[in-house]
Amino acid sequence: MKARVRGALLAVIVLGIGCGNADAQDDLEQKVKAAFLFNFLKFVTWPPARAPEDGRPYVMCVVDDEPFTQTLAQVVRDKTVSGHPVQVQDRAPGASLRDCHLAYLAPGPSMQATESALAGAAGAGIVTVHQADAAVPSGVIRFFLDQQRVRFEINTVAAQRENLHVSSRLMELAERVQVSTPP
Amino acid sequence: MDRAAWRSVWRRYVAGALLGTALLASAPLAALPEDLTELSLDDLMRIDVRSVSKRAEPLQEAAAAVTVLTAEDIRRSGARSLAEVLRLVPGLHVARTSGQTYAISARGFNSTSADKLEVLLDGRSVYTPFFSGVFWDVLDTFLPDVERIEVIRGPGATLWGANAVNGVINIVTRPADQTLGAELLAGGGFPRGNIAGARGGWKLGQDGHLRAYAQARDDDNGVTRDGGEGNEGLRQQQAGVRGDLSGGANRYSFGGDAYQADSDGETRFTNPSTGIDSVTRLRSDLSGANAHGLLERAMGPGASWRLAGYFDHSERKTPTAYIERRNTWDLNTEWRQQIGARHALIFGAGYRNSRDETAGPPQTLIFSPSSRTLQTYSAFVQDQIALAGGRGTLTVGSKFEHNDFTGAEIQPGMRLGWKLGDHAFTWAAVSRAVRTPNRLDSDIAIFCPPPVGLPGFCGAGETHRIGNPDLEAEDLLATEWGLNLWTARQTSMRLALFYNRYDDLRSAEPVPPIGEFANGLSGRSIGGEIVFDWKPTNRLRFEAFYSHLDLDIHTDPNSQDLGTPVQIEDGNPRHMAGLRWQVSPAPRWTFDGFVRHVGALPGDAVPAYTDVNLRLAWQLRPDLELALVGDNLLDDHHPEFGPPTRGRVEVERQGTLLLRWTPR
Repeated sequence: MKARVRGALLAVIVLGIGCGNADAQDDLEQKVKAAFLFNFLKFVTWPPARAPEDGRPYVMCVVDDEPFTQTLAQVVRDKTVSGHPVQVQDRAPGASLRDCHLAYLAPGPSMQATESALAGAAGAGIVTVHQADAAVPSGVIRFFLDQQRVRFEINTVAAQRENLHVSSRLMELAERVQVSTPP
Repeated sequence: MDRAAWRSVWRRYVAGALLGTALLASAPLAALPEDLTELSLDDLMRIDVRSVSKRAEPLQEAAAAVTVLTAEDIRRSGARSLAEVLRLVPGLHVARTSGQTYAISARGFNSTSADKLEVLLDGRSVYTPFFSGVFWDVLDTFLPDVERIEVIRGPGATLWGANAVNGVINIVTRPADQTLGAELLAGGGFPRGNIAGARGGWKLGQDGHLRAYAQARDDDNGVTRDGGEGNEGLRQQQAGVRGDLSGGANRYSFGGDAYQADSDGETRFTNPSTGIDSVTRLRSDLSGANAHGLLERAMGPGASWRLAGYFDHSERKTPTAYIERRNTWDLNTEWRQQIGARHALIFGAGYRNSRDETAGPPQTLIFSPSSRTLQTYSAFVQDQIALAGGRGTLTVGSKFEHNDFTGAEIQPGMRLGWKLGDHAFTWAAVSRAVRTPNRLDSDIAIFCPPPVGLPGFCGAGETHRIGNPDLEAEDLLATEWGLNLWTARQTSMRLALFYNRYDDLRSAEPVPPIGEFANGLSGRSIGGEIVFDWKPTNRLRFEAFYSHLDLDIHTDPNSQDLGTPVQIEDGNPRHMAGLRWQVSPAPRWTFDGFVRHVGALPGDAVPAYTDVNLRLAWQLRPDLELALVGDNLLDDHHPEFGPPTRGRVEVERQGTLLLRWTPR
């Protein structure tokens, strides 16, 4: 009897460790970023023309990152923002982002690729979230890591240009930069 | 320094601060909730995304014996009241003495009027100058709104002042922007104990948020030793609000609660000269209301300022025993300043005014004078100095306080923390703390009601003063040492050891006919707590702890009080241990448990006990959680505290079905 209990206990522990390895560290970073994105929806006000109509969802687009689409979808599942449901859509690189309220660009592509994707979305009232190494004129929010913690930077010029009102609560926690489109 | 740089300095030095108000600013995350959107933005920014242990550094590198219970710990404990939640804290002795009253203390000196803990709820001190303790029966809030509970074992007087002798419990509710929408909580207990509560949260203008809650509960009343009905427990209704606003560099927070409760309990009095107990069963009407406000302002590079205040009204009417009404208001301010790269300075000042009115005869417990205003002026300063390029941190500071009983009191402290590589941290501290006298110590008298008085104590119509207006403050010199070890991935160990020297402890001198308080005792306590945490995966977490306490209290040459030392030594468990787990065996299911062992209290003939609490929860729908909670499952009933009178209330096995609904 004792041996069986011990065996079962061992199985649980081994199983646990197995699961532990599956939960890669990146997983947490992705979840934290997803939680931030959801918070961005809450703390940004879109111009009336861009705000979803009654009963229509906020649309969050994830460009070229299928696993993150899943993570984000799970995080926002059944949640609402000011009474609107939240929808997550997977977008191929280069696809139009005009119907998105928020667009998230996976880290990785070159600075150039990020810049051109962001430039394509500029002027449509989209909260673009990217992860380039430095601020980009057309990007509204940039994620970066600081001492292993996820931080974000808001380009106030871009936010203004997109007619987005960012609440002071979010502003307070953000690093702020002003990078305008080169003439 | 530009804004980004001072933010980073702020975070590194002030948010990671060691003790005290610094802990109010930093929220060490013990464990992350499954749903990260439950966290505030500040908390999200604190998560170390590259460490699987998921502990924010500040907790590992806090130079004090600190435990933090997160919102998830609280929810998954299945507890329905603040006092019950505190059972999870290693080294805290939580004993339920009836359906609604508790004896709670850290590192010894426990009693239903334990007087060596400071307890704060959103910055409002909830201990009463009536007896320097907490009326746990009416301390509650809507539990889903609690963000975290920080518990420091050991003195915190350098920042918090008199009363933070053996520990500090700091209860922090979520900012209102974290509690938008509705949440409903309903629970039905078997054989008894019901709770129902609801909260709504709204936006308030552009940058503000507001929430309001209401809650009602009736508590389990327990049984007596022979299985008979214990006293009837507590029925309580409570409601409150909290609002948070931010504008530019300013942050405002305000809130308040009101409660009303009635209970049946018993008052016990032991005659120090005869040792005879007198027990009276009494009905109490309890009510109160409070309001608090806070303004916080960033003052430019490395500096911030805050101003906080509160008003608290309470009424306790237990006819024939005592009646007390109290109004307290408190105003305090605090300045934080980063000086260069090495010094993080905090200083502040405060004023508290507490006025009470008590009723005279025919109440048994009367006070002379019957009404009294107590004023406390205080100031503190603390500097946190980075040493050896940030490997070490030295914190020195002191509280200066002036009270109406003993005049000026100085409570200095010194803490040193040192990083031993990436996975180890050690700390040591020496501090002085005092417990200043209170109304009970100084002014209490016994009126012996006609027709027979109190048999064994005094004749009808006599009044005898027990309080002593000349009492000195009780004095503690605490020495502490700690070691924290953790692996990069899943495990951590925290060890804290202490040696406390107490002088001028309150004694009850057997002066006929009843007795009188004096400062006739001194002694020492030695002990420690060790906590292991293991979190192999996101779905599995274990915590195990053991705490040891050895009290040696003796009577000073000028004292005749031989009873109290024994009472103190034998009234606290030498050993306590616990094992807690949080398991998510399948999606939408959690199975959590807590096994605890509490050593015997030989003084009161309370045997050692081991008990287990279990909680099985099913996330029926994203907005609906159903939990089945079983408390004290190993025993039909067991006593936790108090003399072995026939009416001593014992804690029963109990089942509760809890429903949590967050309609969208």
